[in-house]
Amino acid sequence: MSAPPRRRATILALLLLAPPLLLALAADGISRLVTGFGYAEIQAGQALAPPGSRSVPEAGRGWDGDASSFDALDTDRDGLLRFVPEPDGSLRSPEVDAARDRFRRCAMALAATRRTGAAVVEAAPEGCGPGPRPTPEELVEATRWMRHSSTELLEADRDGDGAISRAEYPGAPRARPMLLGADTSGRDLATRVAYGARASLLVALLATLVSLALGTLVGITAGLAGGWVDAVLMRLADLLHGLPLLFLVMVLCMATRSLVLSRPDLTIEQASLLQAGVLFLALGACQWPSVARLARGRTAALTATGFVTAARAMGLPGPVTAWRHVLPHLGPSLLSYGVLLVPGLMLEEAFLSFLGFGLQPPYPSFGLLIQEGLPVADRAPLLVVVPLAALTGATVGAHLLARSLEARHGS
Amino acid sequence: MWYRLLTRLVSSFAMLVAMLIITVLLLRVAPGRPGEDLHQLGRDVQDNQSRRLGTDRSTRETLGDTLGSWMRGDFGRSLVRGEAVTVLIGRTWPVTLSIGLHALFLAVLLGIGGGLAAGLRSRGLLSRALPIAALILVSVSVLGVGSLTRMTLTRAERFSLGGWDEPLDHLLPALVLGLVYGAWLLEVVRSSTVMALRAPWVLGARARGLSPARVVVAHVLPTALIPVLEAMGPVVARLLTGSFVVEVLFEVPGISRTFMEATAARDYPVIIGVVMVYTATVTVLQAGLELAHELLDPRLRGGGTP
Repeated sequence: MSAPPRRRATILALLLLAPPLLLALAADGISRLVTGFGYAEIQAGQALAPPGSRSVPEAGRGWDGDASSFDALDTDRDGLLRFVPEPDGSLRSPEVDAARDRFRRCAMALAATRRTGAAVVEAAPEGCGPGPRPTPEELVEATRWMRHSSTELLEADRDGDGAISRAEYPGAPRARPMLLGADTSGRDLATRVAYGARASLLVALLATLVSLALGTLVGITAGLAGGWVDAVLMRLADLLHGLPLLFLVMVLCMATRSLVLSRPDLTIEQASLLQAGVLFLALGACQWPSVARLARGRTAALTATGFVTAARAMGLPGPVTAWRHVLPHLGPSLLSYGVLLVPGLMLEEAFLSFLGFGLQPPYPSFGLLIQEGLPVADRAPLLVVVPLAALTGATVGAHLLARSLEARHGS
Repeated sequence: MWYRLLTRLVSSFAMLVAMLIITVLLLRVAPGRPGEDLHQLGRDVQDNQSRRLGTDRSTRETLGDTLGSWMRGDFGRSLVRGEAVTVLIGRTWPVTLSIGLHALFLAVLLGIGGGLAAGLRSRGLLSRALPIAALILVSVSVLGVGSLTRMTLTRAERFSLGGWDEPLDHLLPALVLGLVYGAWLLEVVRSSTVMALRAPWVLGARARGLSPARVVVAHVLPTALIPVLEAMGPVVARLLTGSFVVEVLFEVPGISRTFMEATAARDYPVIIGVVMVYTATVTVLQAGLELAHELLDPRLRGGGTP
């Protein structure tokens, strides 16, 4: 414990910032470990499931070994699922394909419940699920066996006779359990929250860095230069500080969105990166005046000290003085102020994304997850509660860190 | 005093003009134009349309036109509805203002009451619990409190979204906003009260044997409220953003709906109008707060700089 208090605070801050950064860099591996889903998988496999359901049938991930669904597939009751060659040479089974068609009709019925959040499928299509009015969960379970695809089922044909017998039948496609249930598109909520945390934290952290860099630059310049430079820069900062700049961020995000929409050659990844980049740059640019005030105040106090006067008397150029003799003394207070900025910026990102101005789907962020979950919240409250809890946890953590840092420096 | 008032007026005016210029420039620089979905129509239709919408002019011309017409008191017409911007905003702004003012009242009441209660007694259960509750409320934010309220109430079927006739329609959004920003203010009031209790003139007043109630009212309160006044500016700015979220959550027919529709349709005059209304409100409130600061802080009387 011999390190000076300043260094200790820095170490503490880095330790506390490490988990979100780790999550940001290694979200894929971590989410695979915890939830069993990688991001690309949930993106591609928009599965049949009502929001909030805990298991989702997934074709091509193994079979459950239960032969009871064989009778439902085997509509002509000959004990075999026959495969017939298509004109293009591939083998298809009319019975299995008919089941897939029924599955599609059920999916339509379920898609309606996804949008409205209705508790019951009013009119289940013929041959889809037991009883007159199955719940969506029952429907999901009942339609699991219908997700067989001809080509995948053919792999189970061990004797090579072009037909699947009851003995060879591998069972219905296995359902994938989901830790926190499925979202409105049948994607795993836990994975989406992990990735949403990554997006929200990264945007907030980068915006903080942008505002710290800009504000420190302006503040030190104003403090060291003095005179009219100081007056002009600080007037500008005061002016911007009093304006509701968040509106300008909204306008800018709207513009980015229409730019993205007008450029179909951009991939989804490029478009999302562009939007996230504009968002954090704009959010950071809105916060710099307060940082500049802080930095200028500290710098003005430092210019009266002996070492800055000495550096100037030696004829050191301004940037060198700023870098070597002023910046190191601003470090701790800038750090604690920066940590204080993070929770506010996270909330602003959530607000903007919630309103549809910030980050855009399909990639998740906290605000987007809440926005997507809200229409179906009375059926699947977890869709709102989980991202909200994660957002609150992250914000409380950042607030507490900022307070402890502030208490250390007594600023 | 008069000098400060005058400089304040000039700088408020400068702020409004600056915001107008920034908004117009940003809208011009932004890609996409109103009426751009007409590109499948003939060239002459497009030209007529862009002349009507004013998108055929250079950035400088647009800026000059907008500034000029604003100075003359002509705020333009909606490109989509053809309605005058003043009429459009005049219809929706009172709704937002009513929510905002009710929320502000509640926030001040909650923040100052709770903050004083927690700050004056530093050891009670209340003074330990209140800051924690406030921190959690602030972190849950308007988004969280609002969506949880909406979920609970719509589930209990006690509240229908989108209405603006029943008392609950007015009350709920203001309640959510006031609760969160009251919590925000509470922490400021609490810490400034704790600081004020240590001020030399408070210690002096105590030493002279004034009654505790008199010490609090005459010496602690004015001292503690000065940082609160400084914090009110950001609180008001955040309250305005928060009102956006609340209006969307409770589907209130306020100005946020106008703004969202205008941004979707790139209805420039309406966007500029809404931004300017918000800026003017913030500016007026800040000027008022500065004036109050001056009245409350004896150190600022007589033309000294803060």
